[in-house]
Order: sequence, then structure tokens, then C-alpha cells
Amino acid sequence: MGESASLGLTGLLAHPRWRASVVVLAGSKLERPVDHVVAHSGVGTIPAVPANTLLALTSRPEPLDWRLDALLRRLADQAATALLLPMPMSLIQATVRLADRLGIVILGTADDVLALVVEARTLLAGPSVDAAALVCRVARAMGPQLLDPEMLVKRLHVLIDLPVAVLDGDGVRVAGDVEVTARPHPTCARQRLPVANGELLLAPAPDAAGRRAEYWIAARVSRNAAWRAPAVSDALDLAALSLQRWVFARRLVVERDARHRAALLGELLQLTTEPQVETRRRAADLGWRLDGWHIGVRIGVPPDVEVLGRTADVAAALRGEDLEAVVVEYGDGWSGWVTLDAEPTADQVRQLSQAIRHAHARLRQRIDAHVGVGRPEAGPPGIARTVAEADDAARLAVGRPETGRFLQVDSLGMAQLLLGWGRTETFIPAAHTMLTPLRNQPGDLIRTLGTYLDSESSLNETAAVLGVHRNTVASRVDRIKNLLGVDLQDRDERLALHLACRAVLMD
Amino acid sequence: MRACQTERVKTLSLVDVGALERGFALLGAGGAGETGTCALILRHQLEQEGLNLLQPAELPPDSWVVPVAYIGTPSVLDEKPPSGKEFTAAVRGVAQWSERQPVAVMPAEGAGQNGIMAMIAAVNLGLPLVDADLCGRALPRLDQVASSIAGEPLVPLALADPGGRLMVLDDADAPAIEAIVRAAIPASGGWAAMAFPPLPAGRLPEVGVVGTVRRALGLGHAHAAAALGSAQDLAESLEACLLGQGRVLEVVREGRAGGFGRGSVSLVDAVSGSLVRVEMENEYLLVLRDGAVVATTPDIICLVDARTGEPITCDRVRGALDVAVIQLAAAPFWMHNGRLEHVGPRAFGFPHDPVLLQEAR
Repeated sequence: MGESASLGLTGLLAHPRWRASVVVLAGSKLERPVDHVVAHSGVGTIPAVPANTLLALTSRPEPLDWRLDALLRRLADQAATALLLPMPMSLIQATVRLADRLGIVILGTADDVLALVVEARTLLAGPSVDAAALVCRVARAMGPQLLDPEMLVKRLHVLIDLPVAVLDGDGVRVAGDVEVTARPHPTCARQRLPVANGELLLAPAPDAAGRRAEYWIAARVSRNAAWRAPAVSDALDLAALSLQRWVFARRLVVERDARHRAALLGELLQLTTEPQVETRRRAADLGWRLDGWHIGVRIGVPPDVEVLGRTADVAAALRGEDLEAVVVEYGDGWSGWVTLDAEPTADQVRQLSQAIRHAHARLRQRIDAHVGVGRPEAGPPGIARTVAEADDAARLAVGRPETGRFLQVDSLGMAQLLLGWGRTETFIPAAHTMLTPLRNQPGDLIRTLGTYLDSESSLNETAAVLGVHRNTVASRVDRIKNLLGVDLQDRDERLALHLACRAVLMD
Repeated sequence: MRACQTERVKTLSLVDVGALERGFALLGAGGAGETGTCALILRHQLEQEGLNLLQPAELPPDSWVVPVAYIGTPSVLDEKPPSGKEFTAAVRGVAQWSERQPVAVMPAEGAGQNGIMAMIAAVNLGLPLVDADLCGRALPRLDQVASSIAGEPLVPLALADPGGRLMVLDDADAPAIEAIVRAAIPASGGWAAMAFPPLPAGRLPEVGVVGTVRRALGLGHAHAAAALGSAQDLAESLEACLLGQGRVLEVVREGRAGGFGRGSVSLVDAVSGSLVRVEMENEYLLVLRDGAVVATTPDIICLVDARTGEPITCDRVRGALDVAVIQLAAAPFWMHNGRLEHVGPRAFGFPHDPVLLQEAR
């Protein structure tokens, strides 16, 4: 019997050909099992049958024929399940009552009885054979050509005779007509979600790394047809691979068209509400995530840098820090975002920011880039906001060589504030004066101090930004303390020095 | 008083007519016509004096006994009542042709109308009645009568119709007789009085069914006593088996021109919930309970009104009646293996072995 449970009469009646042409004429015990299907000529003789048999007569008996009642009795004595008669057939009350009393279901069909018998036998003899046949049919139908989600859904629906849909990576429907009330689990594996009166079978079309589903193929199976699930799941896996093939091929083509990407980014940056289905489709094609929490990143370069050609460098730098970000050539530089599943904690934001900073540092070995990072924002409209912030931050970062031309927008916009203060006529001379002891000393001490304070007194961080050894930084900080005669633990002193450094370094 | 142990009755009188009616009706197994009309005639005849009832052994062995019967659609009799001369004409015709002068009359079919008719004929002819018949129950075909099965010829056969015509058939075999007579009846006014070839009294035990009249009388008396009791009590007093009792679910008949063809009565047994189905044509022929055959011909299957005990004929049965189905034993004549096949289920077109109260020999 394979992995499916014993085929009940309801299961058999749910099978496409049977469902289309077989009606129940008498009896109500539809949940009885069917283990054998036997064809017989007529009511003239009574065959010996094993228990749980469905007996199919190839010739139609007269409604008044008492031998029909006798056959029912003998079938009941042998624990048979049902009798299939050719239509048209109208049973007399006595026969209907007897069938009910004996627990035998009488079915009628206008279709070819023998063909139905053969079909049922195939089902019984090897559901795995039937499943394999289905998978082969699906494989042939998928074919060598690339099928977009609409075509795929149409073909698949015909083959498996169930409602089918394609969902994007977040579980939102992009083709087909299955009502999806639950989201798939992020795990990139086959799933079964319970829905009203049945379940939703899901197969993932994974991304290149195989870690995340870029698309899902879903089929809705009713409770009565639950026994079909294994075969249908196999078929869906196959269809999902076909879809994956289409996605990759499309992506290849699309990726070569940077303008398309820039245009889509442009659209996304205008977004204030839910995107249209078409926009979602185009984003999914490119592997861009729209749902979740986004942190915008803007990498700007001087106008003389050839942006299109350096994208590989940018990608490499980000990969080097294990950052998965959407990066689009846009203006003098690249705009993009990193997506997280849930709202990030302050720590996570900090870690992410540091990672981006390190990636920036790598990049700066090859390109003179300045980087802005936006605040975390949610959903598709959030992309526009956070990328805009990143853009602003990057613009500000250009004039902040002491910070390594990296700026992350924090929640209070403090940077902007300091910027304002630090540029007054009264403050700058005082700042210069404060830092005079550090001038003309080996080790670029003012920059070191500024970076050290930016990094919240982290030696490692400072070392990374400046590109020197940690010990070097430590000794420099010692000398700074000596030269200035300050205790960098004192808050007020720290603050004053921090502001002074900013002012001097920008001057 | 048990049916088969009625004390020897020598004379049938007015008081016996009721019991005889009921008894013959039961032996009719749903067929053989209603006794009402002819019983009126018989009552009128018996007002003056009774009818002698003889056992075959009481006659000289080589004396002749003529079997008589009415043949035709039962209901026609009400439209064209007999004048009384038809049986006389038929008997005279067969006596002349066969050169055998009968000294007594017997019913050819001791059931339903024909049981009563034979007595009317006996009174008309001024002859005694012999306690024997050729069927022991209602049978639809001439070639099924006991004498024919036992090897006696069915000819010469005389038919006298209400128009005063006489027809004598000779030199024909049983199937031909059946066919010719059936064909002739509609042309002769719808019914006829029939006289069979006279039989020697001494051979009646071998070629006929002895004791049918006495059986009818016994059944009639027992029925009268138990009719208003429970169906189970009635069955027991008739020495019959109760097969089921309940409201008729459905009566379906094949529509066929000339005769009502095959039909089916079904009911749900009130006690067990079983589906009881009775197949019929001119008589009740076969009973299924929950799809299993539980009774067949030649046993006598009757449907009686559950309240009054009144036997219900095949053409009177309809839906929503409360009925009981009972099975009486066939006459011993039929219980020989060589004879069963002529009156068993297969003889009526049912491919099934007989299911009877008694074992065949």
C-alpha cells in the first residue's frame, strides 16, 4: 500500500475520473475501506470475493430483479464494501433499503465500468506507481522551456487536479487562486499547513545557497483526498525546481540590466504604501526582500569613479563581512539595504553597523568611498525611508574624514546637532587651542583621539579604523593623556575633547 | 383443532362454506381468484341439502372421477356469471368423448375459486365430491397438474364457455394444451368451465393429491379461531411458518399487456427490521429476507392482513397495508424429487433451488 493509508471508498470517489462520473445510489457507509476491485458480468451468478471488495457489474440488471437483492446479501456476507452498476439505473425502494441495512454502498456510473475498474486497480495495486506516474507526467509537462508562475500554475493544476498557487518568499500569493491564510515557516523545506477542511502542501524553490525559499509552490488538498498528499508533494518539488530554473535564468538576464534595477529601486524609493503585485514580482525576480526590517546603506564615490565596473568590489567587501545586502548602482555610488526578519535590538544594530564599517574599510583600500547607514525601518515603505536616511548620512559623511567618512544615523540625529555646533566661529579657535599639545607629534594624535572617542574608547575599533596595530593605539592614547594632562575617564573632559577633535579635524 | 386432523367429514353443508372459502383462499397462495362470488352461489345451492364428500377409497377402484375447474381471468366471472350449465356441458362432453361415465367430481385445482367451483359443479351434476385434487395449491399452468406430471394424459379436455359453446381437445401434449386453451379463452367470453379426462378412483393416490378438501376445511376452521389473534398465533394454528410481519413498503409490477406479469412486494419486519421481499406473478412464489431466499414454491406462501387474518391476493396487495407473510407446507405429492422440478422455483423462472419446510424424498 505504500506510505498512504488504506484507500477508503471516499478516497476512491475523490480520484479525478471516479469523482467525475460515479454517483451514490444507495447506502451511506462511505468510510469503509476498498482493498480489492473486481469486475463481474451480471447478477446471474454470484462470485466469491475477498473482504472489502468493490464489485463492478459490466451489465445492467433490471431494477425489479430479485437477484440484485440476493447479490447484495452475498456481498454483505463476504464483508464486501460496495457494488458499482452501469447507469441509467433506478433502484426500487426494497433494494435501496436492503443496501442500507446490509451496509453495502451501491454506486452508479455512465462511464465505462471496466475503465473505472482498471483505474481503481492501479490506485490500489500501487499508489507509489500512481505517484511515480504523476511525477513523470509533471516532469514531461515542465519540459525544457522556462515557465513563468502563471503558466506553471495552469499546467500544474491540470496535471494534479487541485488548486495550485505560487507564493513569493514571504508567503504572499503572486499567481494562481488558492486562498493562503497562513505563512510558511522560514525553513527552506517541504511543509504542510492545516487550512479549513484540508491542508496546504508547500514546496520551496530555494535560492542559490539553498538556505531560503525565493518562491513557494502551494497546492490545496481537501481532507477527503489527504491520501494523495505524498504523490502531490513529489510533483510540487519537481515543479518548484522548474520554477527555480526560471527564476535563475530570469535573474541572470535581469542582473545584466542595471538600469532595470535602478528603475525598480527608484520606484521603491517613492513607495509610501503597499507595493503592487507587479512590483513585488519584479523584486522577487531579483531576490530583493520587501518585507521585514530594513537598514539602508548608501555608498557614495567621487564622480570620477566608474560605478558599474566596481560593483564587484562592493559585493566582495560586503561578502567579506558576511553581509547579505541588496546593492544597486545608483547615481554616484550604490544604494541598498540589509533585511532582518524581526525588529533589531540596539545591539544588533550596533553589530550590523560595525560590520558595514569594516566592509567600508576594506572597500576603501580600493575605492575612495563614503558610507551612510540609515535607521531600521519596517516593510516595503520602510526601504524608502531608511535608504533616504542612509543617503543623507552619506552626504554628511563625506566631510568627516576623521570618522573615516562613515556615518550612521542614530535615533536622535545627534551627529547633525554636533555638526551644527562644531562649526561656529567661537568654538573652533578654542578647539584648536585645546588640542595644541597634540600637534606636531608623531602618530597623528588628534585623529587618533577623535577616532578613539568615536569608538567609545575601544582600542580594537580604533585600530581597525586607523589601520594600525592595537598596541600602537594604546601607546598613542597614553601619550595623549600625558600630553593633554587629562583623565579620559572624566565625562566632561571626554565630551569637550570629542567636540574639539570633530571641529579641528573638519577644519 | 389441528388442520390435518379434522375428523372425517361426510357431508359438506352451508355451515362449512365459510371455512372452505377461507381454507381454499389460503391454499390459493395469493392467486386462484376471490371466492366471494362463487361462494354466494354455493350457499344458495346448499340451502336445500348438503354435498356428499367421499374419500377415494370409498369408491370402487375402477369407477371414474372427473376433475373440473374454471379457467379464465378471475374478475370476468363477476361480469359474466355462470349459468350453471357450463360445468354440466363440459363434463358431458368429456364423458362422451372419453367414453368414461364419471360417478363423482373432484376439483382439478383445490384452491381459491376453483375449490368452490368444483362443489358448485358437483351440485349441478348431482354427483358427490371426492376429497382430492390435482394441485394441492394454486398452480398457474395446465401442464403442471399432478396427473400430467404423473404421466396421465391431459386429453381429452372439454371446455364449455358462457356462450354455450363446447370445445373438446384431443391428441395433444401438455404444452400444446396449455397454449391452445390460453389462446381460446379470450375468444370464448373470457372464461370457460373445464373438465379433465376422468381418472380411476383407485389410482387417485398415485396421480392426484388426496385430502385437499379436508385440508381446506381444517385450515378454514383453524383460521376462524385464530384470525384475530397475533400473526404468530395464526401461523402456528395453521401449522405454518411466520416469515415476517410489517407495513408494506412498496409493490412494484412489471407492466405487461395481458396479465400482470412479475411483481414484488416488500416490507420491513417490525420485530427484526429485516427487509422481507415476496416475488409474485399469479401467486406468491418466493420470499427473500435480507437478500437471502427463505421460502419458495411448491410451499404455499400467503400474505394475510395483520389485523384480520384475511388472505390478500396478488392483485389486491398494495403499499401501507399491514401484512404477515406465512409459509404452509406443500402437499406430500410434490415432495418427491422427480416432481419438485415441475412446481419448484425453476419452473417459475427463478434460478434457485427450492427452500421448503419439509425435506424432499
